[in-house]
Amino acid sequence: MAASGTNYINCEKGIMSWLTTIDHKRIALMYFFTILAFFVIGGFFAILLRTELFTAEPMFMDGNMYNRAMTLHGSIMVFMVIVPGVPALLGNFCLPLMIGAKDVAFPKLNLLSWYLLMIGAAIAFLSLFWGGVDTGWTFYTPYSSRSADAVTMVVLGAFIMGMSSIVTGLNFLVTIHTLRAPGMTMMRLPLFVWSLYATAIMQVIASPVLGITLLLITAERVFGIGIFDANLGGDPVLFQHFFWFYSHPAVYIMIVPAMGIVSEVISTFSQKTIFGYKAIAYSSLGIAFISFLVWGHHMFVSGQSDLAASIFSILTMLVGVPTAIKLFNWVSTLYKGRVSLDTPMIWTLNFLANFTVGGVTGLFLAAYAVDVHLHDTYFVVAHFHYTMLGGALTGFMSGLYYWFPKMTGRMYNETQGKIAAVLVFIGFNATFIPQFIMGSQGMPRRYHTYDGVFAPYHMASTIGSYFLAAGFLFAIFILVRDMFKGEKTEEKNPWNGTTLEWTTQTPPIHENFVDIPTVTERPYEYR
Amino acid sequence: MEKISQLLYTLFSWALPEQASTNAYLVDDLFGVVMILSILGFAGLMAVMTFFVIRYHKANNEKSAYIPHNALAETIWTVIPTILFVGIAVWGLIAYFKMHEVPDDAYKIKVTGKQWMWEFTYQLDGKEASVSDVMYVPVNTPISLDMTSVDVLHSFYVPSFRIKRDTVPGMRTYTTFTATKEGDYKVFCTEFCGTSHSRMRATVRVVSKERFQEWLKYEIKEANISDPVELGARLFARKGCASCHSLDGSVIVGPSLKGIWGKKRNFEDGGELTANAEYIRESILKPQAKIVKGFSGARMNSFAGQLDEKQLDYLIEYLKTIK
Repeated sequence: MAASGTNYINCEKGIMSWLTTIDHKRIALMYFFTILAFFVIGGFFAILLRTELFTAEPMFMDGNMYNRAMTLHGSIMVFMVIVPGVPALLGNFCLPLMIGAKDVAFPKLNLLSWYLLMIGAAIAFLSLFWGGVDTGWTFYTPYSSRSADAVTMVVLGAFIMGMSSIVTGLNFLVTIHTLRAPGMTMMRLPLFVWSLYATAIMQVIASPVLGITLLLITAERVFGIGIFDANLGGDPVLFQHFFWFYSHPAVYIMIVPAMGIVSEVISTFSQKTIFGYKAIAYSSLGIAFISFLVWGHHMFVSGQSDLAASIFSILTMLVGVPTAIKLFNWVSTLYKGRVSLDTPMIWTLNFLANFTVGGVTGLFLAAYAVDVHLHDTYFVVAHFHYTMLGGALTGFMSGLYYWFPKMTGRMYNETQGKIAAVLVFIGFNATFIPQFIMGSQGMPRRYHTYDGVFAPYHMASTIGSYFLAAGFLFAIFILVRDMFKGEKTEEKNPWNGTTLEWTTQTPPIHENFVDIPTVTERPYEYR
Repeated sequence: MEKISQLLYTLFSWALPEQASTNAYLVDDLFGVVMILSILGFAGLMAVMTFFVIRYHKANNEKSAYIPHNALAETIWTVIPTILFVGIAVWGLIAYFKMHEVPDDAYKIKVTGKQWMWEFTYQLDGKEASVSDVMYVPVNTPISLDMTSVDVLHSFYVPSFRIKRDTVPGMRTYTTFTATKEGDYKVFCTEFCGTSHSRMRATVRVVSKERFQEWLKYEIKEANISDPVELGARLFARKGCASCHSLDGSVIVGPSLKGIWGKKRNFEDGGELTANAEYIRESILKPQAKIVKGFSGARMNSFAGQLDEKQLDYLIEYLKTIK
């Protein structure tokens, strides 16, 4: 390799060098721009929805428009932002570096994943020109078998994006099993890698079921084969079983990698060994396993059998246990640490607060009798935003700021970073606390118009969402601006971290390490 | 127990709808308990976290300690949440089975969801009669709802009763409740069903058992009749018109209505006109405005506010037929 000054960013030039790259770090950067762009678009629809909901009666959208905007918001955020977000962007960048490898096991497949995501997203967006889709991101049948033609396109888009997810997962699994540096035993893996491992298992096992389900919808729509539509002799509830068999593990595909980031950040910014390494590692696997057995809790009032619902209720509670263990471990890591409150740590503390709320409100929903009341109300909307936005995406931001200097060779503006993180925290809670209250009072979700009694809560939520949006836009603006204009840094290890990515040059060279490191101990050994 | 239950509801009534069914108490007890556990758990964890962040901030702590794990602490915080969580699940199931058990004597109503309205079907003299918008139910009576949908999924949700159940095309689902308070309660559709999903609302009207019987006898039948003449005849009977006005020319209290349509009327004040829709309407709403000659002693009460425009039309259509 050439003298210092050469790194993965400047070793090749020109747009083609990016579009045809098989360097995992460059692919990560391509994900960086595309996923953040999707995030801004998905957020734009969120703001449209919240603005419309400021009044109980229609303000500037009609019912069909609202339902389309709602579907776009959900589908973009789930399929294009949160699912690929942490694994494909940060996982891609960090995984080989963290296990001391030169790249992932299948670099070309890695690039294929990115293209699949782009093609899937493009097809999904194209549906807008065929009138858009109004089914919600869940595509429940028989509505989705009958509504607008564009459903077929979006379903195809989601199918292709699912392929992208499978390919990434498979790639990571093989990479973790075969490309670890000498001495990097499984029990010496950084916890972020453990979380990517658990995520990859879920991606590989669950996503094909989504693919099959989406193909069956297409078969029903295009060829009139009766699978889910009762009029054709199908069973609408069967769709829900198929869909949630994927989509429940999917919520853990979204949250588990963010948990991995939190483990890294909390140890580094406490300058203290992670408390309960094994418990955290195994609880990721535990979550991955149990997550396949709880899908029925999305269907407590769907008419499934009471016996099935009872089993799902108890198993759902059990998935809360490894989650609680992680929370306790993270907080204990702070104990007798040496805590510094840099921007990544602020995001991680936000994560802990928000995710705890998301966790305890999950208890309400897992309790069968209480769920009968809360199911499909704004309580559920608030609950999953606390886990997905307050949890997964907040952890994602923590990771983006944490690895930013390593990825870019520049430093972001620390003061501004903190302001953005605090603004998001305030805006987030102002948006979603009112949603919990109106939800448990009985406000149903996916409502374009609503009963006037809920108006004060909707107004508060809408105003909060503007602060939330401002916070996220600011946070993203800082990252993008400082990627080009931030203060240059070549410091290998700005946070005094213990994982392998901090031992190599900043930004790393094309092949990551000049000499593959030999590992002699577990990470987080602050003594 | 009842006092604890009341206390819990009082504490969290800001987050819950009113309690108008027996189910509400079952749900709210557990809601309250989980709420208290959640608040304690959340506040406790956040207090500890905040304390650690401040106490062990790098400004206050030179060097971190090396504490990789602690078997006792980890066992405790694995076992206690497991017991608590499973306990909540079991409680939730027990409460659910109580809520969802249909008593043998439950009054049955069929509920049909369609884009975008609810239809409620009652058994009446061996036949079925349907209404939409307002579902009447008697208070303190177990009701069982036999539900389905004719098009896509819907979900029947009454927040004040804490009941919700999807209606599925090609499948019958059920739910059950006993309303404990008279009044009007909102019904929402909570399964996304398309353009006007958010407008798919209705009302459950809980009335006394007597009022319910009366409603069944008269109003629901009327809701299933489309012939305005017949509707008018029923109204004529129900509103007691016949106790003062004969239809055969004889005088009971007020003038007979035989052949009223198009008949010449002479009034006490000397005026006269030919009976038309406007006149009949006025006579029902403002009976004292024009008094038929010879009837100054008969003081009829106004029906303003007791009959809507449609009902007035039905009465007029009916009276046209009395030759």
